[in-house]
Amino acid sequence: MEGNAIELSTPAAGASNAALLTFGVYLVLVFFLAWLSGRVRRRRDFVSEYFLGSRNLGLWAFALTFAATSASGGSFMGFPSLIYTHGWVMALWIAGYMAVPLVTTGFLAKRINQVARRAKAVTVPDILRARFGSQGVGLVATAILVFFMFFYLLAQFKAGSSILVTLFGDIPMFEAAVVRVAVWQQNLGWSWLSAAEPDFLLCLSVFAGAVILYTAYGGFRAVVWTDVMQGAVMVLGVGIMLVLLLYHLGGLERSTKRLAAMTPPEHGEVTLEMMTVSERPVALRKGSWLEITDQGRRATMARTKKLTVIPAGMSRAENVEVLLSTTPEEIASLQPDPLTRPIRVTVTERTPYGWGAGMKGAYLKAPGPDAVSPIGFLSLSMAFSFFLFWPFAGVGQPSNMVRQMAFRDSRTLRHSIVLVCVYFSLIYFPLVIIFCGARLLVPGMEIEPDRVMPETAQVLADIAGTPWLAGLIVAAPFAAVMSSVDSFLLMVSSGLVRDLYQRNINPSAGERTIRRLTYGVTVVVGLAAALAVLNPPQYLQSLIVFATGGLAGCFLMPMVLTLFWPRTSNAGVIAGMLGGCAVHLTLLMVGYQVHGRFQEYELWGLDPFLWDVAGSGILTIAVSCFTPRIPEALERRFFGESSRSRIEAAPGD
Amino acid sequence: MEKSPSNSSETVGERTSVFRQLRGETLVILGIWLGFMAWTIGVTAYLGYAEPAGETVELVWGLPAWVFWGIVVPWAAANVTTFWFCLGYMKDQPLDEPETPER
Repeated sequence: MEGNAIELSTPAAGASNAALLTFGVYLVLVFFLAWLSGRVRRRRDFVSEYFLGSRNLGLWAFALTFAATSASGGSFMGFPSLIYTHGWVMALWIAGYMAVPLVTTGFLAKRINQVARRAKAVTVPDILRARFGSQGVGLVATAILVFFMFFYLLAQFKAGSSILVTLFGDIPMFEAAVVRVAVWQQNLGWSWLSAAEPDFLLCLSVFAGAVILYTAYGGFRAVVWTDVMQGAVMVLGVGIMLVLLLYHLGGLERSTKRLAAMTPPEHGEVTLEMMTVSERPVALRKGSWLEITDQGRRATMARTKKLTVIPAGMSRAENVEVLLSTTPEEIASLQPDPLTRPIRVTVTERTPYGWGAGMKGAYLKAPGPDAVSPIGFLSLSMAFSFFLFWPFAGVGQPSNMVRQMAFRDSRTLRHSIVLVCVYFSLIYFPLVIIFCGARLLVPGMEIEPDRVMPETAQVLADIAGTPWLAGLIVAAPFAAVMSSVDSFLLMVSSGLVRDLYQRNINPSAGERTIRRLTYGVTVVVGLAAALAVLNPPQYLQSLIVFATGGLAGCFLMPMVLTLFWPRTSNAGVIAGMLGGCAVHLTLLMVGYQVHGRFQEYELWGLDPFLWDVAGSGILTIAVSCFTPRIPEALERRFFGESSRSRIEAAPGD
Repeated sequence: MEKSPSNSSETVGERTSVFRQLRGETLVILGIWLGFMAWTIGVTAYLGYAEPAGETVELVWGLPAWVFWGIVVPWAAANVTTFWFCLGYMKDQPLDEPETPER
């Protein structure tokens, strides 16, 4: 990246090595915890310990595993990219997190923990199976869970690999390895593999290998222990970034005033024309800054979105996609890549933002700038949807339900909610401040917004003159990704091994068989996710929202009714889960038709999650009312009362 | 849903104490969420979305005013409410004991 603006803040090789060392220490600690948890497991029952940590999580373990799992790659990669792109309105987008600790952790936790203990359940399908005495309901739950969790895994794998690309990017040894991978890709000739960017492929292999190994070996306890460490790293990373950024920008007020002077960029195309014909191909790296002049004076600056090559013997490249800066202060401060100086750049097409084009203060206002939509990024109805989505989608996440099955007692729960409350406050709002400020620090990141977090971390560490700090800061999003990926990997493998194999195919399977199968399935699922994510969609957040909304839409209402309404039948729960899934997928298909990309349709401007939950809830209740209720003994086991006798004794109660 | 005392707990039992308490706690949680949702959406709609177009944006402590009053302040209040709920209202209850009918 010689000569462009980002070069000023990109660490030199020595700096990257220091960051790499810090990061390496962090990884060693993760593996050490996995090894320790493996030792603990040897003394206990495999299934209960491997999948649920023997139902004995204390305050810090429960609180931080819950918080760290919730704060995923979406929080540290997708969320920052949205803040960077849309500005302060993202504070409203995330505002529902003020209620997340109480609602998500408090809403079902005691009841689900009680029912799970009574049913001796270690997974979510286990609870449903025991509550209704039905294998069918468990199978449907397992299928839905594995389906959506797999999408979630894809998003996390992409996030983890992107972080490593940034971290390793300037190390000569890594660059040499990337070249070898590129050659290997071409020789192999598999289109799916060849289409992947070689640096991403290499980092994906490293990331997937590390996570799969420690998760498969350590199980739930390793996941929880590493979550505790990763949770601490995350809050530390965010804190350090906040202090460094505000110090560098001269405080929050100054930073916000400078942001107010910015106007959204434009997307466009340019023609590149060299003065002479080169005998060799001329390549411009992705992210190169080009100067565009008008009557000899700088008119604007453009940043290339892709690697651009002017072939040998040619002097022109046309239709080169670029991002065009529109903020005078930014245009004046950027330096063009020296290699591009002999090239004349002509703008052939420019597309202003749908909302916010030329508007000063756009990044401070609601509904926030949007490249396409003329009504802006976040309509008020969508703001309401998200305020409902974050807490209640959290309630419906099977990964949260599993953790709620694992805490030791209700005192642990109460204090954990307080801890999670403080923790989220220290993470989410500071992230909004940091990445609004990042617009001033790392311009032009709209070309690859998902990488704004690691780029900003490296810039800040470089500014501070403490390159090792980059390792610690970048470890924060990496920790978030790891703490989510390991949990979801474990959930998918528990779904396949415990819920499918042990419950339906071979109930008499011995512990040794289950153990081997669990290790094998965890590895296979992890590898499958890694292969599937070789050519990922641009916006990480789309996958996260799709999977999160899908899981919550399918599980929230059926689980709430399962736990609180004795009349719920197994047919009702199956109908509710499948109904939620059908609504979710239908809205995705309609959205794909309407928007032409991976995005669900927002009927009446409301988040699809609302429609999923409504469809799922209505179906669960309606079908339950028209199908036979569960045997009285089961009802008594989970509700402590014969509601049939109660109804007879006091109708209308 | 309250039950009158009964001598025949075998056929006409009682809800577990955890179930009864949790049902009440759930309703309070819903009420708290509703209150903060109304505050946040209401204030941001008034100060943020209804704001006339223009270059100047009012700041409070370096934050856009609509963010400060509509998000920062309710977020702080939500934290205080959560502390009260967990440390003052929510009850400790046994989760793994057999049925404990209330009399």
